[in-house]
Amino acid sequence: MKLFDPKSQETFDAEISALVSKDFKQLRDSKQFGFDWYNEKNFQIYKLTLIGEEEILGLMSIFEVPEELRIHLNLIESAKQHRGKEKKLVGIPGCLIAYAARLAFNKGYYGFVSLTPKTQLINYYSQEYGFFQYGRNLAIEGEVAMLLIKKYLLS
Amino acid sequence: MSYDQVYQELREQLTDQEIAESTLIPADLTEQEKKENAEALRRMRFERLAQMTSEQKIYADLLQLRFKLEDYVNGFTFDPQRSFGYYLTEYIHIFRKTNKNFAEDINVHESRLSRMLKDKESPNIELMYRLERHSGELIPALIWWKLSSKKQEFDLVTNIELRNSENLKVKNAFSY
Repeated sequence: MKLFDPKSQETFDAEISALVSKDFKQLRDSKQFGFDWYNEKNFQIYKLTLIGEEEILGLMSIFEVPEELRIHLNLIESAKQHRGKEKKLVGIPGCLIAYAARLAFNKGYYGFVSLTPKTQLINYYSQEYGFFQYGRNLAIEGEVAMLLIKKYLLS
Repeated sequence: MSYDQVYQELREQLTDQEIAESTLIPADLTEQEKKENAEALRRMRFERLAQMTSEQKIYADLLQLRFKLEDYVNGFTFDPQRSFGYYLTEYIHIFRKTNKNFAEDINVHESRLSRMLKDKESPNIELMYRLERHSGELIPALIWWKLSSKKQEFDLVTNIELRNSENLKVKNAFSY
């Protein structure tokens, strides 16, 4: 997967792996994240880094609901320097969502990923990633999930 | 701090669009709302599952196999159980086809397919292209090739007997 630097027009190879306990210290010390990721410790937490580097660029917490064949995406956050008009790298949340979709295929859940986002942001997530709305929830599956995987993980 | 409190802090510096481009923030629900929403999600999920066509299931099953294959071939460990024949058996199972019907699909003799399923014969590149086409390009030929190469690599490294016998056939070996 690749992240894009809009200023230099360069792309960088990135990877996603499980967050390990020693990463919490880096999260605290870097002050790059506003949410308290320690509160997410009961979920599976994944981190996005550039290949060969330790700096965490983005985080995602998810949990599995195997009896409903779905992965529920709880929280995603990009590091502060990758937000807003001056963001250094583009594509962090997209890569993380696509990774969750890949996991959902891998687990035999037909690529189904659900989330219950803040109401004010629902339209943005739907437009940006193709989520379908079901009441206060959003979800992707099947071909839409694969489109995200192609766009963010396989390109 | 609740999710909403962090969201309100973010709004002091970023627009909603910019927040959505860099974060995915869950709604803060009360315990009762969480319970109701979990039930709504459960109902919706089972409705979606009931609506799935057999083609959609095959599509997802093929992608599941593809990603399992990718993870295995890109990993460092070699597992003799996870052979070409093992994964090809899984592939055929996705389509609920008999070996005879599948052999016809990819235009190989049934006995040859049987040998490959038992790992008695290695697949060639032509077959990998056919498998790629048969999957509607969802499983690239390259993944099948990497799977086959993984076994060859293992055999090359571990076949001490063959290495020793071939060494005896070499003259003037360079030494330093």
